[in-house]
Amino acid sequence: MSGAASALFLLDIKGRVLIWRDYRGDVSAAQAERFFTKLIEKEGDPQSQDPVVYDDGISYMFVQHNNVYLMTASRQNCNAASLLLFLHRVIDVFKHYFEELEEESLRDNFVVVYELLDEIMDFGYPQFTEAKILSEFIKTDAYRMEVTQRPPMAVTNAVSWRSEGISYKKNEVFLDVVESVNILVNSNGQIVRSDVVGALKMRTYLSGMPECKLGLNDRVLLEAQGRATKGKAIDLDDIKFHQCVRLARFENDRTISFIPPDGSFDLMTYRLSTQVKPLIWVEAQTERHSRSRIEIMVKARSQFKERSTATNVDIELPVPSDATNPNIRTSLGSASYAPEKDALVWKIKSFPGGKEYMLRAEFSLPSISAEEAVPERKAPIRVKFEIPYFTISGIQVRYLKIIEKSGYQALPWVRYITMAGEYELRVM
Amino acid sequence: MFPQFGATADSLSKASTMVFRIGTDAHLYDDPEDVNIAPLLDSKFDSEKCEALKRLLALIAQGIDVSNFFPQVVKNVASRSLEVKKLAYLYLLHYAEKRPNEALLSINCFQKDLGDTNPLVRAWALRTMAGIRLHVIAPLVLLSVSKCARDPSVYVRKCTANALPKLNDLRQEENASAIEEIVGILLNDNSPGVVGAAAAAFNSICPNNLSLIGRHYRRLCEILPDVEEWGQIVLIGILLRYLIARHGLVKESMMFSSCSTINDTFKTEASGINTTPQKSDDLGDEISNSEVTKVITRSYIEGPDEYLSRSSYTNGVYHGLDDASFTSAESNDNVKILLKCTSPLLWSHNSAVVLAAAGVHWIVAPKDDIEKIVKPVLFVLRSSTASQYVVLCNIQVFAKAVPSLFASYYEDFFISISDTYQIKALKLEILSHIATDSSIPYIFQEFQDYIKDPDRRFAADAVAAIGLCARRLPKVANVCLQGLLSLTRQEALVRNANDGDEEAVVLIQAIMSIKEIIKRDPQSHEKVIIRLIQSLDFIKVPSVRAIIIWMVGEYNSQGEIIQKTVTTVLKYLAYCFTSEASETKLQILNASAKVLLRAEGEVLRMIAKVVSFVIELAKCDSNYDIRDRARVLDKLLAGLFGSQDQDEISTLKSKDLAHVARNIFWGQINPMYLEPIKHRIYLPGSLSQIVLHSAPGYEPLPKPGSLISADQGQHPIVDQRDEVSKNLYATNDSDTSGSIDGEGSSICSSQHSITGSSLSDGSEGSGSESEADEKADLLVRLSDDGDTYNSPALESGSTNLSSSQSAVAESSRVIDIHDMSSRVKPKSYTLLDSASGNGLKVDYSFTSRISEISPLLVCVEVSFQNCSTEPFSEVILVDEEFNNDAYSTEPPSVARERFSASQRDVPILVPMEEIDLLEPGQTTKRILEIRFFHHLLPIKLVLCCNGRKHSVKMRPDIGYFVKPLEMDAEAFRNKEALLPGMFEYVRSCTFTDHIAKLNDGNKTGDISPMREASVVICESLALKMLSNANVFLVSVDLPPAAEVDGVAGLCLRFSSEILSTSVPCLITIAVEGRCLEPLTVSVKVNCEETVFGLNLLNRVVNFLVESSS
Repeated sequence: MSGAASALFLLDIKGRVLIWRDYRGDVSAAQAERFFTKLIEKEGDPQSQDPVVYDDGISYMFVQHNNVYLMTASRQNCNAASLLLFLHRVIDVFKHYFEELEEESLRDNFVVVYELLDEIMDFGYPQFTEAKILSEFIKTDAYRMEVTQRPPMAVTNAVSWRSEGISYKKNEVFLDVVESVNILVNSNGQIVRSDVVGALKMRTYLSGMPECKLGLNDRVLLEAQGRATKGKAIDLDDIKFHQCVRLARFENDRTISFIPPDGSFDLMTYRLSTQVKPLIWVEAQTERHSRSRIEIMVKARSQFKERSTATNVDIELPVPSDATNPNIRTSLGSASYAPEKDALVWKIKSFPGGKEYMLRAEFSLPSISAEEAVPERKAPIRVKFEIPYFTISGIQVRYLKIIEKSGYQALPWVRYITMAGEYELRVM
Repeated sequence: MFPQFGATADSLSKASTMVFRIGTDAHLYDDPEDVNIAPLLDSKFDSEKCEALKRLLALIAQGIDVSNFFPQVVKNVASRSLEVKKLAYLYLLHYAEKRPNEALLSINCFQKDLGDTNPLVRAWALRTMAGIRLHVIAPLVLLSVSKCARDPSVYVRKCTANALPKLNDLRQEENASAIEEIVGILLNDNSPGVVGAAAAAFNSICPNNLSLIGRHYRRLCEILPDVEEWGQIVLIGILLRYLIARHGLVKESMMFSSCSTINDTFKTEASGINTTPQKSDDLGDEISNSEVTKVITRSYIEGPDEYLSRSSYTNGVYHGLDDASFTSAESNDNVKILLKCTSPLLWSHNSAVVLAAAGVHWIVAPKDDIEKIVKPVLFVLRSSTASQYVVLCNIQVFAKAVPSLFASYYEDFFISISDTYQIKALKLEILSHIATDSSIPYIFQEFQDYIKDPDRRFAADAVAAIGLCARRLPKVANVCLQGLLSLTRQEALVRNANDGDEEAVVLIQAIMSIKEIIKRDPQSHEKVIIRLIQSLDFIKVPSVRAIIIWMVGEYNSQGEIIQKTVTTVLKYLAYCFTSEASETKLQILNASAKVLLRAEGEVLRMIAKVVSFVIELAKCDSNYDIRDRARVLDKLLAGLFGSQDQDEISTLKSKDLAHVARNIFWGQINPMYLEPIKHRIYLPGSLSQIVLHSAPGYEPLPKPGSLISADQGQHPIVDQRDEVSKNLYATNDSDTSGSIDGEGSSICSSQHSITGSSLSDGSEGSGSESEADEKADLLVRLSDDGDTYNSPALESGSTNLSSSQSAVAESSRVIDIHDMSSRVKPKSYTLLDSASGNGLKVDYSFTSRISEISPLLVCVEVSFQNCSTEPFSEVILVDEEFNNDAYSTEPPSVARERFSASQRDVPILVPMEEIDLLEPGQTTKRILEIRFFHHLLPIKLVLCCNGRKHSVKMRPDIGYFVKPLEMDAEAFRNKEALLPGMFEYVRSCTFTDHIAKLNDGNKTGDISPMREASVVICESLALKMLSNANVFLVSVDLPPAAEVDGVAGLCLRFSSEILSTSVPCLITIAVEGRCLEPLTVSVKVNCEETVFGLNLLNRVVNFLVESSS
């Protein structure tokens, strides 16, 4: 029923095959290259394309990363979601190996790439896609000849994501709670959509096979435990767990228990679709003084507690595409005109809570348009920011217990950060 | 690492990159040929070998053919260094198909590696060996796979599971049951990692052998959360298919409710299903969607192509679901356990796993529980663009079927600036499906923003979506209408539309949506029509004008205001007629005709004048279509123009015409038949659902309840019966399909006997183990033990030599084995039976003739027999790609020369002399010379006769891939001594043919002393050999006289050489046992071509076992 990929291609920006691995022998590189170059020629930008294209009996699925395309070809009906996700995982694996995945790094490491392609997919079926596990038996360095190679312990273990025999002098766990706020405000200033996507990112440096238990202020758990929930608890609705978390256990009693992989991984992601107040509110007024001059007034207000501070605030304001001669003044931070984006970018390094700042900009408009031009729909205002030591959802790590049979003490470090995700304010 | 060097020109960056990329392999990739690779490959240092191999890989990556290094590289497979080995494997896999003979050299190394202590080495060896796509090695891979299925290392077992589909790919039909058996073993593995891979193997090998799943169903469900993610996806699909096949649809599920509504509506005979009272009240507003759910259900079960093509669809009657096809989630544990084990997976990080788990709930879960999938699926939308697209495609189907599921989550489908056009379009469609009366205001507000989008294609889609909402929710139709109207009145928009195509698309879409809304209730929308008419002044887009004018004609008598203004409007239209585009002109003509036909009294005259003016204008138009329309209208409407010089007859006539005209323009239009929904719907998560056609290999769900067997775990008795029937089936199968290819069916049969015994034991595990043991033994024998095993046979042969020679000299009756050829009856196979050939029966048998054209060709005698009463003409057999064959037109003699000139161009089939006419009852024979690509796989041919084509399959017989090689016993033994060890294979079997003959002899009163009996045995063995293989009988050793009843020591030797390569192939048959009992025959083949020898051996054993009837 569900079939497998016939081959995996790594293509350069022009659609030429850099490296490919044939798994089933029914799609040739020339065929794929011909298809892809045709696609690029026809559509210009394959990113705006369907990621799945059917051509001459072969289904191609591709994703782009930097100047490389990753593409699978298949002659059978296969699971599209699975193969596309697989390609993304392949990107992650390559990134882990070469730091950055791009044409040059593929060339530099083509032998390793071949070895990886051999291991991450067998006969078109995805295999190990955890970089951690792969790096146990596919090494990039020169020493590998001297080490006797064994299949990774992880593969033989019941716990496939962690090897035995890991040892650290100092046992530490770093837990970052990263929340991104997605908000969409329509042209009337109403919030049409807002949600928070959070991730618990962990970096573990723990010896042995530690059993971890994580306690959050999850309302369901607290209620189950008969604890008081004084407004501090949150409702975890949508959750996705790393494969190390025992899902059945969570289903039973809401405890998050797991044996963590070594190093960094995303323990869980969650989503809260509650209404949130926009943390940074931006209002823009555009005035056309005559047909040749436009004046923009922007107010940016921080709507969070004064003790927090937003950092690296970027506000991207749309301006008409023909605007020239910018004349910009700001009450804080710096602003510059980015004609390639048809936008004015206002950067504020540090934006304290409960404050309001202004920007005033003037542009000349050389091209003369008709009196009542179509109210052109402009790109929305986009905002980027980070607020450290703060979570908008109010999620709290109540405890992180680490139990290992050797009985060592481990130090958990927890950090919170909130940042802007898809943060768009539409303007008229 | 240094992106600044990434894109620079090669020449410029070379120097700098050399500096920066030290320690990487890039220099190898860039200049793979700057050193001589060949000596490096032969170096004694592993590091140099590595470098050479890397350079070769770089060349491969750049698309350069480096297969000429093959022999040198293959040697390195034996290297002790894993590094070298691995690189050599990569190279080997790439070129194995091109250089099959050299690739075979590596097989021994692989077999040795399979015994290595390092599991990594074992696993890689197996993986690579299975990956070599050569049919000839398939038997060896099968042996290795069955051994490795019990390897202590999980990693090796996992690789074994992955090797199975590869193996299956090579030998589709043969050994299917052996492979399936291994799949079963691996599915039962303790390690989740192995189970995942085994699930994938199951899916590609025997997706419909769901009874195999039944045995392990519960365990598989329980292990599901621990299986690695990619395996989970596959396993979920399998479990779902099993559940549907075994238990049918779930009564509480969405799928069932749709089925029962069908039954309810159409009162089908399957009334037994409706045991539960209908919840049609609950369904409420979803009743309109039941059509969609119905389509979905049937698409899932039957596959949309089949379903849509079925004509009975319009009746909506769905046959074939009876009581057995339904189950209940409450009472069925199997349903419960699957739901329980898949629901945690909705929290998986892997979006494909989430989608797969959601699919199970969608199909199986009770209707009220489906909601569980909504949030997880929506969360997946937050992943990459590509997955977002796939997920949306699936949500679209869910939302169409049960809009209420997603209704309260409409905000999640609001469009963001970064979405690609495809995603935007999908979101719009979903939004217009899930909009409800309460959410529509918010959705509209969004739509209004979208209309201003710079991407006008998208804006037009948004306008269309508004129209769709209005149709779905009549309550908001008016709001929609106002919005759309204001759009058509936006001066700026309209002005731009008049200039450019992009805006026009939006405007057209708006008008179309308005038209759709008005059509529902023209009466109350009179004012809207008036406003549209007014806008004719400034809208210049022809197709928009055409639509508005159509409305003028269509609704001219709808209200008072229109009736009053219609004359003026017509005048206006007549005034601007000449400046209109053709499509508008046509609509003006139509509209004026319609108005005229409705007009009465004073107005009629007025209008008649205008219309005749328009018609006159149209008659002189440059467009012939308009001229024709004008002339037709002129004649039809003549009576209404009211000319004065009409006599009565013409008035009458014109009245008739007017009647006709009324019928044409105002006749009752049959209410538009609701288009049956033609959505193509495929199972959630499948590729087919994305590309919207069924991709090769797509299979809908199995027919509900089609797998009738009791729960395997709970009712062991039924379980056995089930299995027996399965075995019976399998045996039959191998009898029919595998009769020619010896080895396939022999392994099957050995397996069946073992499975049978395991049944009597009552324990599955021990049975499969013993079978595997046997195979392991086999492997050992062929790899290294052959020598020792066989030496006794050789000894006995030589000691008996003298006696047998004397025996031959002594008895003249013994010697007649040499003129046995007259008694040889080659076996005949059916190519086409008279039933499927409309009376033409075609048989074929292999002959001992040797082709003169090429050693690659095998001669086959084909007999064509006409069993019908009609004569056949132009009967000819051609190969499948006959049309491309350039030689086909040449006379055979010329072709012969061409073929002999170059070996490479040997065709599949030497053109056959056509049989012009085949009278009823007549039989004609032809000798065909055929080139089989592979000595086990059938070859496809096309049989043309009477202009019709039948595709037929001819199976090769490896026994005829050799030709007799004459030699004496001395030469035979010398040659045999040169082919020891790995070139020698032995198998034993039982031989029974002689018993009947001996018994016959007894009956006729012939007293048969033992010596005579052994001659009979010898004769029947020789006859059997010569009838089934093209070999030369070298010598016969008769048993020593000392043995009274026994025949131990009887030994026959045959020699032959392989047709294509002239490699000698020696066969020795040694017999043991007693005359009147089945004899144990051990067959030994000595041949340099290992794989060929093995296959030949299997064939020989196979036909010896077969009783000749």
